[in-house]
Amino acid sequence: MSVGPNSGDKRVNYGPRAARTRAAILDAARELFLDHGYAGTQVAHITRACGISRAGFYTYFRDKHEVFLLLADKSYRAVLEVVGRWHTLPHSCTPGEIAGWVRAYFDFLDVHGAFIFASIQSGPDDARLVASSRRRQARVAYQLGAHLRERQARPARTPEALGLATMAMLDRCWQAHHAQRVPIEADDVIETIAGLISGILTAKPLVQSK
Amino acid sequence: MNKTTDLAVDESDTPASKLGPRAMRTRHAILQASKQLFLDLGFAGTRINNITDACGISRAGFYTYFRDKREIFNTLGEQTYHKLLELVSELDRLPRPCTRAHIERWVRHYFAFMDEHGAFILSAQSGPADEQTQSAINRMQMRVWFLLGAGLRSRQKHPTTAPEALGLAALAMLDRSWYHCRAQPLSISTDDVTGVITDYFTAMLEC
Repeated sequence: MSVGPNSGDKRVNYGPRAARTRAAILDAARELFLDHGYAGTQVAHITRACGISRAGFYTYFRDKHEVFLLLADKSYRAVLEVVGRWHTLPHSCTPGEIAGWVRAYFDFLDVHGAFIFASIQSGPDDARLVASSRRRQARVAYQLGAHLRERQARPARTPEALGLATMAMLDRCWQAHHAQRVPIEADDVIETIAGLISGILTAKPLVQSK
Repeated sequence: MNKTTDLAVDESDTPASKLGPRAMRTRHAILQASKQLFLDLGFAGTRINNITDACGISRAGFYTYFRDKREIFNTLGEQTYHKLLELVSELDRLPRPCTRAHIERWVRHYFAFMDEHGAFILSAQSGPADEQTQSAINRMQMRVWFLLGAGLRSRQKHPTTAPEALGLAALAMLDRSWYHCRAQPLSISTDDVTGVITDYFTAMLEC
């Protein structure tokens, strides 16, 4: 599932100071990609933002593309982790337990959401990267859908569609709430989403009325 | 319901109503091209040049019809808002109680609406930078969320607390699912997705 050229050829034993510098580069780049897009961000911006030299940057990364890939990897791993938390929920879970998971998903988006949504519009113009990012999103949709389907009284035909619609609701609600700052209480949004998920899990099989 | 003019462009102010058929076509082409460009490049990233290139007209041609990019955005916003209100009232007019088949038909109508207006809606969500437009968009969105949420809530056996949150969640699911089916397709079948959304609505209304 890895995207493009990975930095696997590099030694990963960084000392604490090097690890701090790397982290600073990643944090600065995340902000810059968000504000100026991928194309509008130069290595010089990154080095200035974290107060290091150009040589300092190239000690850790080949180019900004590599930095972008690493950020994408991090957010992918983070979303898989959150989706995986369904494992820890009881099989028949309450709306309250679901709300706890929704909160965790929103926490994940608080860290990675801005980068994810910005990179869709202004990421590198790289067909391979776009294709890989879509594969990853489809995979996350599938995994989330599979967790939900397993708990449905009337299992959905296709887990990936169930996961996709659910993720769509979560992502856009977060975006409206956090990025657009619409005046709706976060708790109301979280409870409403949890109620809807709970509803689709417990919906009884029905006699098809035509 | 009548206070829809926050972001409205007063059409009597522009010569739109007096345009001949050829001019109408050009104006329409500018709006269509801008819609797609706003989606692909964002509002801020779209230049007048991109628009004129996309419809093969000169810069002067552009300024015959629109003052600036913002005016296009406002015109598209107004069109979209009216269509959205129509869809909300279409849902209100469904029989009580309604069947799964009724809801499914409505969800398909919503996707058809998005095929026409989705590019603009998504670009509006990522937002033009200036605050005035953004707050006008937010007001219109709040109104649609509230109306849709109130309509859904009136059909619920156990009504949810906050109608605007319900409307937001419902539209969030529809808008972004459409996006992943059409704009950034994840190769998941559209029919399966509209089916799941119908399931969500059906469960929400317990019908």
